[in-house]
Amino acid sequence: MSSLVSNAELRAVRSDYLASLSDLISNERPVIKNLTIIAEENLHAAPAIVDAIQARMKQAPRHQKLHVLYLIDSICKNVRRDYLSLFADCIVSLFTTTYHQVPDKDKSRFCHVLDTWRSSGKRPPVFPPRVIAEIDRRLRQAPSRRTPSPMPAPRPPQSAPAPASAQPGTQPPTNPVDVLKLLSTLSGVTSAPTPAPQVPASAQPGSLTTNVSALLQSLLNPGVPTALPASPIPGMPSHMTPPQNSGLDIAVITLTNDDIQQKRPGLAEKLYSAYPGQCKQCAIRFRATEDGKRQYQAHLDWHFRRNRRLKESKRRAQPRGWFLSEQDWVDARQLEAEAASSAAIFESSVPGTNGTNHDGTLPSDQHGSAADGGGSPTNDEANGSDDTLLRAMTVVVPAQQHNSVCPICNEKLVGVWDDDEEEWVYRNAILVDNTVYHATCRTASLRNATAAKPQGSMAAFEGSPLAAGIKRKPLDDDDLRAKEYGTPEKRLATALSP
Amino acid sequence: MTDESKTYTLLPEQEFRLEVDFASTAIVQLKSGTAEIFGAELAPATIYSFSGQKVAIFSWHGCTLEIQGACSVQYVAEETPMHSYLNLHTALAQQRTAATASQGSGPVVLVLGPTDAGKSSLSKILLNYAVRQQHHPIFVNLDPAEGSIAMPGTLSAAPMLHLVDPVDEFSAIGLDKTGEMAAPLCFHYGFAASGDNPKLFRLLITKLASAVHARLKHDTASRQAGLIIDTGGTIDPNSYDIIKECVDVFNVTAIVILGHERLYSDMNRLYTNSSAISVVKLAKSGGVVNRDKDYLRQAQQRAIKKYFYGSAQCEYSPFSAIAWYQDLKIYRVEDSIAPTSALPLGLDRKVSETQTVPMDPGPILLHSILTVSSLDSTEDESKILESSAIGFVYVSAVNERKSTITVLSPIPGRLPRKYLLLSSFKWMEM
Repeated sequence: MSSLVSNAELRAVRSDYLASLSDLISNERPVIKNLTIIAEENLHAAPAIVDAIQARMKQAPRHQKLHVLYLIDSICKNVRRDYLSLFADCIVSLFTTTYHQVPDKDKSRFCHVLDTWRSSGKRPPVFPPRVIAEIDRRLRQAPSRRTPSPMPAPRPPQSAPAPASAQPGTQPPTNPVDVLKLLSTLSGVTSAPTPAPQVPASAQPGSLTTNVSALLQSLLNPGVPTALPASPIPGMPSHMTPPQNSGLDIAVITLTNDDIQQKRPGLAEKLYSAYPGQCKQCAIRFRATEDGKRQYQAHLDWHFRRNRRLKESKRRAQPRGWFLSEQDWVDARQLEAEAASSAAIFESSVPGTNGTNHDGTLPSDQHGSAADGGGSPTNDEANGSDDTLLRAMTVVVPAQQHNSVCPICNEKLVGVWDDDEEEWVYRNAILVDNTVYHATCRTASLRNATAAKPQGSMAAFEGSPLAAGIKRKPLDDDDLRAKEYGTPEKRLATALSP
Repeated sequence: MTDESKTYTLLPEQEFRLEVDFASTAIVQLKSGTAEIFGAELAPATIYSFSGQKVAIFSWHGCTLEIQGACSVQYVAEETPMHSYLNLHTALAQQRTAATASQGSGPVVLVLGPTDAGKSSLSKILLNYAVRQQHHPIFVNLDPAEGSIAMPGTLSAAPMLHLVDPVDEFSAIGLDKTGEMAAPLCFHYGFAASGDNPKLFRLLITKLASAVHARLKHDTASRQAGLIIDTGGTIDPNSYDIIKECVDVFNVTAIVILGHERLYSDMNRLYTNSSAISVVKLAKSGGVVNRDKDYLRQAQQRAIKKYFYGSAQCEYSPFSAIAWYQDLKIYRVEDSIAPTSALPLGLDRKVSETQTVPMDPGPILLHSILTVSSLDSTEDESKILESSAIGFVYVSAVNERKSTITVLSPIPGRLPRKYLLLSSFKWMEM
């Protein structure tokens, strides 16, 4: 193949790709995904691409080398083909030389990537075993320099259901379990047995690594929390090293002046060394328990959403929005729990689909067990089902510029990560003419619009695909929806009143 | 004064205090060790920039700090009451743990003291320590002066899902839009002190308390974590009625008095027989400084600006909208009125302190802050004061000829409600 390509063309591809590689300054999923696609498209010039990547690996500042490794990993797992043998020839020296150059915090990540290249269970190794063995041998030759993360012990047999059967006939998939393992180790939760069900068996194998990079992005972005440090309090003066368990068995402190004034040395450790893991961004700490890791993950998700929002607000005007009404505020926790549980039940009742409708039509054939999902005693069965259907509709967050609040209720559209779609999605959302609406709001407003004469902005709703669906499927007033979305009918009515 | 960076080393349990003028900025970085600002730990090598703030950076383990920029005051203090604050927190944490075990309710803490005793700082410390131990109490702000959560002249409550940001302070609560769970509930009061309209104040704390309790009924996590209630400076024996009302309506379990012996002894006497209520006194920190009127005014202006524009960490864009006089119903609250005896003979009082007076839109509205009430057109107008605020608008222009006002609004489009309340706060957009 490559012999048919002229040298001049190879050089051109090489320099083009090298130029694109200069974008790889942070661990951004789209960049890695893009570069992987370019590599796939230029399969005929694979040697030039590999050469460019090698050159980039050598040129890149030490803290950016990890991103290049992730790109190699992505190409080798997603594109494979010629790249596997080409990288197999050079990866040993490339990996081991680079390994000694990167900052200590990246070394463990190098090891974990290497780990995913080994064979495991049904998954064949990415590179031939002799290549991996050679890397291992060379790394071992300089033991003093690779201490931060000792090579993990041989992994135990996977207890998770093997997803290999999910996509028969495709290339050997990247094992989701490994991806998870990679993820969890990267986020500092090393020793935990990987929870199996997070990556669904039906997931596209090709997108798994990109999924990883998306999540990694949240973990590795500068200023975004990274791995939990091993030492409880970095830089703590050694003379102050507290006894690890001090303060864990404090006698009950009563609210009396004497008790409050009494000095208790080491009491602060209940806030410090009792919580060894620390978020790099806001410095909040987490316990080293399973619970702590779960909370840490949830916390990272929050940072990710927040940082994303901040980035958005730098790009274009973000309205602040109105506060919740009193009733919404009172019910906020319940509504969130209900939304979560009904979504979960809907997803589990319709395996393989998730009600996503990119063209804005209602999922009409999926009246599953959703009605009993609300869990609210006031939520009557018939409405609950329609409402749950609406709520389960998702729209993949469009890449191009789009509205950030629902134009009807003016509430913020909140993107969530959808494991099945492997995309950021808006729940309870519908996309019409490049505008994202809350499905429930839009349904309500259309119903309203058919009742009242449309005027002003309402005219835009006429003749849209949803309009027909709604007329067939009128929804009654629904407590749940009204509560959560601040009674869109009322808001709209006010907006429409002269 | 100087822009070069200075390094300070704190020994364990020392505190670094700095004051930064509104016009200047100081940047703080933690170089080594641990340090916390009002209970929120500082992340190493992260830049914290302060402006118009008085900050105390405390270290339990000792640390090295790098300060850059112009501070009007900066020094290291050796004496702090932090160990007693930590004891108080630990006692509360033990109650929360017990409440979690028994499915009961966590502590409800009322922080009292004179103005400038460090009440808000103590509240922040207690909240941050709770959040660090994965408890998420609800913060109730009964100090309308500074507008900590949303806007001066409001009483508000918000669940503390995250740390109080060292830089954005309480306004970060209202700024975080990553979840509706964290949103605040605000009521319009319209004045800066509880004494300006005690009747309305009492009406609103009752209203706020009932909303909070309604939420706690279902919100188990918040119920077990309890409430932290911050107040304005209330030491006048005439205002004890308001304190008693607070204690009653919020079911307060602990009263903390900062730096005021007489208030402590009075409270102790009042509640000595009620076993459900503990009264403790705490020393005020040597770091608290008297904030003059000018500082408070600038802090209020900043709070208003933050409502519309967000902060450097979380920017928002307000929108301009034009509203016609006829679409709006604007009310104001009668403020402190002369006693009945002072009225001319034969005249009856026309309004009471918790009554609203409709007012005609006009040039008088210019530069005012109007509270957008959640009251909608189907509800009784007399309920307007008891309706929560869904937001605020700023009147940037009044056009008498066209009978319109131009407002700065937190979202684009027309106002969702026509009922507005005039606050006593004014703002000049700069």
